[in-house]
Amino acid sequence: MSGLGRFLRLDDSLRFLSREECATLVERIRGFAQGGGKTEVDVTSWWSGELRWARNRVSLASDRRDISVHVSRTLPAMTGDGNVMTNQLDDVSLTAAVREAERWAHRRQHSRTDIVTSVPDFQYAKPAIWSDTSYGLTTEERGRIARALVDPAEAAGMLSAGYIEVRAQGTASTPAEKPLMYAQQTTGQCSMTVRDPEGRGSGWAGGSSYDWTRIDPEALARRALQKCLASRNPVTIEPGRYTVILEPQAVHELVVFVVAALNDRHAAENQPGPLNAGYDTALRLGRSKLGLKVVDERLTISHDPMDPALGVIPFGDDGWGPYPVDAVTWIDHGVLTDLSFGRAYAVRELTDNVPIAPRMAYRMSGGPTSVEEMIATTKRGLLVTRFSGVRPLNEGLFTGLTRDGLWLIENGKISKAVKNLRFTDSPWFLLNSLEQVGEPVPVFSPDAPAIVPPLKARDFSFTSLIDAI
Amino acid sequence: MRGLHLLLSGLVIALVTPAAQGQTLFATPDTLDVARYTTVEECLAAISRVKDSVENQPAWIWRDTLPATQSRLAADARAPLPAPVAAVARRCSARFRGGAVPLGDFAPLLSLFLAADRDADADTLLARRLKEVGPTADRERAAVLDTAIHVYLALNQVGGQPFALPLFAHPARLAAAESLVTAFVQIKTVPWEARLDAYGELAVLAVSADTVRAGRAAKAMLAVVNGLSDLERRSSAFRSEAIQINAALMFDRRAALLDSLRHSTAAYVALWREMWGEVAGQDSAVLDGFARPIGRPAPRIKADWWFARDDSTVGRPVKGKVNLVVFLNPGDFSCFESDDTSLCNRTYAGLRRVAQRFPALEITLVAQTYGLFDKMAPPPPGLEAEQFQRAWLTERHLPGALAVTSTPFWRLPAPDRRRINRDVPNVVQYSFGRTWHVPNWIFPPFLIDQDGTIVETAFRSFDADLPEMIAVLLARQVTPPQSGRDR
Repeated sequence: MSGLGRFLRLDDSLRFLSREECATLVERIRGFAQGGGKTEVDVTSWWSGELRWARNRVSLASDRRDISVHVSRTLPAMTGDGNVMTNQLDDVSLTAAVREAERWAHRRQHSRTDIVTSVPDFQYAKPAIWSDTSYGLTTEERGRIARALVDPAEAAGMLSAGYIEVRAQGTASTPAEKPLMYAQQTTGQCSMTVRDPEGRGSGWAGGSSYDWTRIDPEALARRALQKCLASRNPVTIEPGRYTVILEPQAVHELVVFVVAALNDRHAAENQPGPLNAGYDTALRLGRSKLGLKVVDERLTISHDPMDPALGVIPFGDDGWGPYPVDAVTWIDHGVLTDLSFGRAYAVRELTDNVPIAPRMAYRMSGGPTSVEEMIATTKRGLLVTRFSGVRPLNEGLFTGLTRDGLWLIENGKISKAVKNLRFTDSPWFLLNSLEQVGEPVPVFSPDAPAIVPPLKARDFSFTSLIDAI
Repeated sequence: MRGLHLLLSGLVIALVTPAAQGQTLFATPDTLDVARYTTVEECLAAISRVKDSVENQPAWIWRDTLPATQSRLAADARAPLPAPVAAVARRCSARFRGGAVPLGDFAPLLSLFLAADRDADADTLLARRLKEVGPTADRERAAVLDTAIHVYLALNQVGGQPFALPLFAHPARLAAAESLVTAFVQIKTVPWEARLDAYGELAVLAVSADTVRAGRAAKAMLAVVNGLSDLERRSSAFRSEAIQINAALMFDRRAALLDSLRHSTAAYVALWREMWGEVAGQDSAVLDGFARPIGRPAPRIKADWWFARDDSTVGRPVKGKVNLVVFLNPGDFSCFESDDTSLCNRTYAGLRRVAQRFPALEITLVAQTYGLFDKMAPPPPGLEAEQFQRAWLTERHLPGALAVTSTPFWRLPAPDRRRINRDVPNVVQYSFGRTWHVPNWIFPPFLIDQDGTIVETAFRSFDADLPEMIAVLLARQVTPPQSGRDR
């Protein structure tokens, strides 16, 4: 019996399912179906190796894996689709899952139509999202890396905490009457915080990529330690509006909300918010700001799955059928040129079948100015490492805390570390108040890659002091 | 090393097994000893759990045979909690006493006591809470009473939003709620809209369980309206209450309205106009929100595709017969993919019952193409029309002829590209120059007499009001009223 026989266990050589294994599994599942109709199957299998440490000591080292099988049955005549998920791959469990999906399908009223199969065929991209190095990073190697990250901090008398994870995933989708779509992807992440034992300073650094060779753990360790040492003994300054220099990670922690808004065309048209242009009473529909300038003209925000640093799984399915993830430019030189939407929106609002797939990966264009030049040209301002706990107060206004390094700049130089501050401002205001834009770099964003520049902006609003280091 | 693994495994099994044996697995109905629960939240969660497990069982049965399924609220007003649910509530609430529980848990405890049929404890708790309110704290008193009204009527929604608590007062405590509403409306700071809504909620729940009480609530609603100033009548709030006020008028003057309809459509229309004048005055801007196009000639239905039309030479509505014109809205896709409890399917069931009861009634279903069907787009308009026929006539067995119009459209310029439908003739004609309020452009059904005059458009459902009026019209068709005697 093959590796996918009556009872499947994943051994170390099979940490996730290959295309062929998924195809075999799908055929087995389809063989259990009764009553005709269509069977759609999605299979996600993943492996994750992780290591976590705190106070310079490892607290967790794990090696986990799981499979998720989503079975959707559509029966002929006036029935709907039934959906069941399982992670049990033996015949008895899969048969039970298919029967349950068929029971649900019987219970739902649904008009079967001659045109329900009109999802157009499409080619999906083959982005760079797999790394043998990431997949091959063993428990022992993860331990050695952690040791190398902890040692400098410990040697400096500091406390460090951090997390390393490498992950591999196989994603298969088999829409009815369509060929199997499959992609395998690795992801890697490494982040650490270094703190003064007396709680006088804190530094952070992190990196993420599908390819572990693109993450430099030792550089991250040096950076986190340096930030910690430089942020010690902060002074208190008054909250208020400051010119800010935001490092790329800080920019990302705000712009991620902009990207989320760019991914929801329906909300942009129908809900109050920075991208909403109000209700058109003549046409009786909500309007977005498509075609209008929404941020500084130096900025372009886009995503291309074929960008070597921005690969994502190149297809999706929002329950309305599969679609490809193609390149999109949401904002072009400050002008809102596109908004993402799924197949539901495409069908209902545009009466076509071509969505612009939502995704959180993005590239933000940059400029020629280095952070050092930004500092040198600042009379008085703040240098921000990153933000923490950012949350919306309303559709456009956010609040959050500075974290892991905040410095006052006076007369073109960093003059002192300052205590953390709470900000209350809008990323949309920020992106319309730019003075200088730097070179975009990959930031720590394990769930969706992002390439972001540092920014210098005026009048960023800090609203209160935070005592926490 | 392998030996160490075995030793550790044995140790884990030895440590874990006793706990697993002592575990009580959850099963429906709730097998846990809820009497051990110590907080009201645990009890309400247990009741919700058991109620869901009990009620979900028959949820997939078509309910064509049951009356008035349109109004789940009304059905709930009559029905007690299922026995297993009430039993859990009684067991779980045993430790709480209305005279001793902390008032901080007032609202959830009130719900718990009513679920357990411990109305005396609920009343005691409410009295304690009201006593705590200062004599001049009108806002707080109103808030407490408003909460209590919702709990006693088990109104699970407030202003379209879910109520913050699970409510289980089944059957609704109409008598207690009426006295609470009476106390609520006497608070001077309570605005007229809230007074109207309180009476309206009571009336909706009472209408199928206690028509005398519903009648009192309807009269009280009209009294609130009669007490309004001209300024208040001209407010947008007044217009937004038009449906509720019309329903109160319909209920309060039901006998007179049916009598007038027996006489003639003109008499019926005249009586409505008189009533609108009483509640809204003669200001045309105010009347606009109330008046329906009753008494107007029903425009002839146009179609690019007809389905299930017996005689293609006869226009619809059919002259000389009583007609029902129903605008269908496929834009609401829950109509095509939903369980039998959806509003669409319950509406369809009501329509089938009407057709079954009145075979002589001519029913015309009216639809237009949208450039999509279900999850797919764009089908050619003819194919879309055929899908309508299949979905409504073949699969859902809706009665009557189906008229489908191809909708002309244009697109917003790129990058927007959205399809903008132009108005189709049927919608334009049945809008009557937009002289009446059509909520979200979803038309109610039009009842049309044998002379082609629109008799009524406002029905709570196909099961309420409409059958009586159809019966009157069909009787009139057999025995025409004498001319020259209209009011």
